[in-house]
Amino acid sequence: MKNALLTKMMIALLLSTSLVGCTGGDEKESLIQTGSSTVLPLAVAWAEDYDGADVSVSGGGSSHGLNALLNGEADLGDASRLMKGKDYSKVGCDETGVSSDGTATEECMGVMPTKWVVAFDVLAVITHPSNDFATSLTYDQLYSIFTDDDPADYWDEVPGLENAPHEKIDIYAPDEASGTFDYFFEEIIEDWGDDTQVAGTRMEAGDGVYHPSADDNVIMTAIQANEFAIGFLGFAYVRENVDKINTVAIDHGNGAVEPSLETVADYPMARPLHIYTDANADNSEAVNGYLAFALSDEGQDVCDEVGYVRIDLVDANLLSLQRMALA
Amino acid sequence: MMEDSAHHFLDGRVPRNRFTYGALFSAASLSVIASALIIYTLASGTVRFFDYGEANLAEFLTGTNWLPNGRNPSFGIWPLLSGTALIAVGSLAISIPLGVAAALHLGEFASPRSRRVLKPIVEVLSGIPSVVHGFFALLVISPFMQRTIGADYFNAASAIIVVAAMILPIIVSISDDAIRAVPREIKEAALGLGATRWEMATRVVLPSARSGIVAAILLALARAVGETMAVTMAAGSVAALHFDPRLEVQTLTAYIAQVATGDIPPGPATEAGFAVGATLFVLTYTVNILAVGATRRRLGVKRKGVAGRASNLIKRGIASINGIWPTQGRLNVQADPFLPSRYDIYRRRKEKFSKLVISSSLFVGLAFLLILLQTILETGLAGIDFDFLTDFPSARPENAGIGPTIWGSLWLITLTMLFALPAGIGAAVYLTELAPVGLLNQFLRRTLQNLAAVPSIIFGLVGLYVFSRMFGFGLSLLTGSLTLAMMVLPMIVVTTEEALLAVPKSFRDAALGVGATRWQAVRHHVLPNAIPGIATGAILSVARALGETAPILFVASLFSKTAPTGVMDGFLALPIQIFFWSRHPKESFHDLAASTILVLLMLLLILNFIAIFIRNRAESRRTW
Repeated sequence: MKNALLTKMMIALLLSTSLVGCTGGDEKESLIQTGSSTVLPLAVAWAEDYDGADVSVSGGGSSHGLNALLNGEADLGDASRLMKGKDYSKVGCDETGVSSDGTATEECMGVMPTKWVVAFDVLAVITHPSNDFATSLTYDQLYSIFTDDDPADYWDEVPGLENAPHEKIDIYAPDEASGTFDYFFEEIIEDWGDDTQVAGTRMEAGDGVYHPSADDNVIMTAIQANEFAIGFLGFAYVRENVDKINTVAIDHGNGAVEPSLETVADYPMARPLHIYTDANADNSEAVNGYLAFALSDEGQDVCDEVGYVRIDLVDANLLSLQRMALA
Repeated sequence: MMEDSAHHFLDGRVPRNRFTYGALFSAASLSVIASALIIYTLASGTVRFFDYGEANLAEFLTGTNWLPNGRNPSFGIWPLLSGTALIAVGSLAISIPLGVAAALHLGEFASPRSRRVLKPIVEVLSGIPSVVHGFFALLVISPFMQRTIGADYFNAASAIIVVAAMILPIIVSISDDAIRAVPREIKEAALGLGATRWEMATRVVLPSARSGIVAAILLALARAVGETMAVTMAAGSVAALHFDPRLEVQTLTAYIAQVATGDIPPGPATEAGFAVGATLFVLTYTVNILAVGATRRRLGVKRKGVAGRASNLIKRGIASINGIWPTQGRLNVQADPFLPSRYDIYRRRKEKFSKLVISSSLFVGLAFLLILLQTILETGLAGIDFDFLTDFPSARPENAGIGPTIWGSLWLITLTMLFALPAGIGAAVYLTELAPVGLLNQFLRRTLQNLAAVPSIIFGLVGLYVFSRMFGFGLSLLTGSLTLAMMVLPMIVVTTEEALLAVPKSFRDAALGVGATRWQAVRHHVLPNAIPGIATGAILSVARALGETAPILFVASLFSKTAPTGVMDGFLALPIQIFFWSRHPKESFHDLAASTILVLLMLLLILNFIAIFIRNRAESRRTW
């Protein structure tokens, strides 16, 4: 008898759980957001502050985010890079359906990806606080320090730094798994990621100068401890420790610019962070509501809080264009 | 015993209830389907990886550079293998001596009372989820290593220590079983010949328990190789070919976890995760087969007859004791043969000293456990209040809580059990009670055994690829719970089988004797009596599912304001929250992680108490 009861209970449980899944109606829409770990802290903060929908957020990387969007697993795909033809071909769509600016020109598996810029990520090159010979660097100088193309071993071997001390360069910077790594080398190495790429990273030189780490704390501590070290990190992290290290002004042909919130519009190493959504989705209204919040003044304030840069500080036009598209 | 009862039970009657048989047989076949899904996931992913043409099989297997990104990506697996080997060998180097010594102490020297105290320590140690070990390694052991041996922030040494603690229980309990299985008469024979207890233990007991201990070590090795979370959190993510424990290394499992959590561009680097998974699968599978072989050998010897083996061992014992005794001549010089010689005194002292040393081995484990619990209590207890238990995991640490996370975990284990329990119990009933003894039965059992040995991160790959992508369940509770159900299925089958086999054969005979069909006998007489045992096993499986991180690493969410309301919703889970917060750059999140660990450990403790309660109550009420 007991067993029959148990069986019945089990069936009842099964039924009730499957029914729960079908409720809704007056409930809030549930959205799933996944992707880039760079966008993650922003997404978490927005999901927290937005009351119009229940948004669950996970990481997994930009590729994962785009993949999940195309596969219909997620409503919002976070990406710290642009969508590429590869993302289409990976799920079996035609890779010519993505143009070079990361926008889609045709549907993929019924999904019409739409690109949104939601914040800017700024990268900072950092040195020891006592470093007075490398306060500003050009892309060419960064190239000679950070790539495997005839790299400088000593500071006075860096072109234009002939008066620098004859001391060995040590690099402490993120490892290749991080989005920051990718972005930095995309900036200083031409055709990064293509077959025509002109040089490799200093890590590939195999000379032990590049000490990779996945942890920002490690990089920061190592540079503080080594007078002749150099490295790079997300500005978000550097900003909180700005008294402990030097930030390097970067010159990309238009004069040297220090990384700071004020100068970000002219600073060369700032990249947009994206969220991709599906224009064909049934729940577009809820998704757009969430995006509108992320792009509102309140939503953009979150950027400061988690260490990124508001869109309008870099490109005010872009922000109003996107707001109009959502309105 | 297993084969006996099933065999006896099989009398060739035509089953009356074909539907029941069909359902039970399907349940038993689920392990085959699960294994097929694993192999399909790994094989197809590996094929996709090689299709990119970035590496061929030879380059993959022999290359010494693992640089999955960059201009000239290179996919030589040796840096990952060396990282895995460093951690596995390092942790075995710690846990073999400690574990065997502890087992020897428990089996040969500990009084029954101290055994009752010491054994649970081992069980508690084995119940700590690996993400908790990871937290401990990253935030307690690693800073210590940085100060003392100049290790990096991420270093192999701290991972080695916690992995050693994780595999210690495996070595202790399986070696203990092997040591206790050594026949009493050969031990008595050794003592009778004048060996001290220590000489008896090391020269007679250990050699005869050898194959069991080897099996224990191999199983521990498989676990160490397959361990994901602690290694990912503490050892880092730089694949480098070196054997310096102070530096960062990446293991096979950690690379797969990195694919799950990091920003890795599409293409070969992500698909490489499947090829690495396939390598890991083959490795652990081989080690496991070797372990099963070692166990077989032990049983094989037994079958030859205790007498023959005992005489052999006695001969060996005499030989070894002769070896340690002084020359005959000096023995004869002894004036009074009843006075202990100096050599005898030496032997007694040696015994005392050695006993002291091995009894202290368990205290190393105890000390580890105490420091771990103390650290977590110290950092986590203050943060636990009503708000913490009900608020959502805010990005602002002062507001953060784990309300939806607790609900997510509860949903997850409930669904997991809904899937795994009927399937597991059905499979066990079919395999032990109804299935004809034969090749098919053997095959199903073997499949289950192998499934039990699959590293948990591989289930994560299957969950992502099969449930989320192929079946289109997405990043949902359904995907997460199906994945976990696959993982706990073998555990439920094994514990249910044990519970069924504990019901005396005479119950079945009596039922059949009065004309019941086999199914009726099982249904009305075996199952009801096995329920406490099944329930205990089920609860322990719940505990396992609750603490597992790696299988749901790909599918769980990191943030949600509300608890899930349906099976297709995204979900948060306690171990994932611990993982996320432990790695957060802000230190206040580490305290939150500790508080979350405390909540998780409390839940596990409650589950274990329920299991013990059911077991004790059933034992005291049992009339047979």
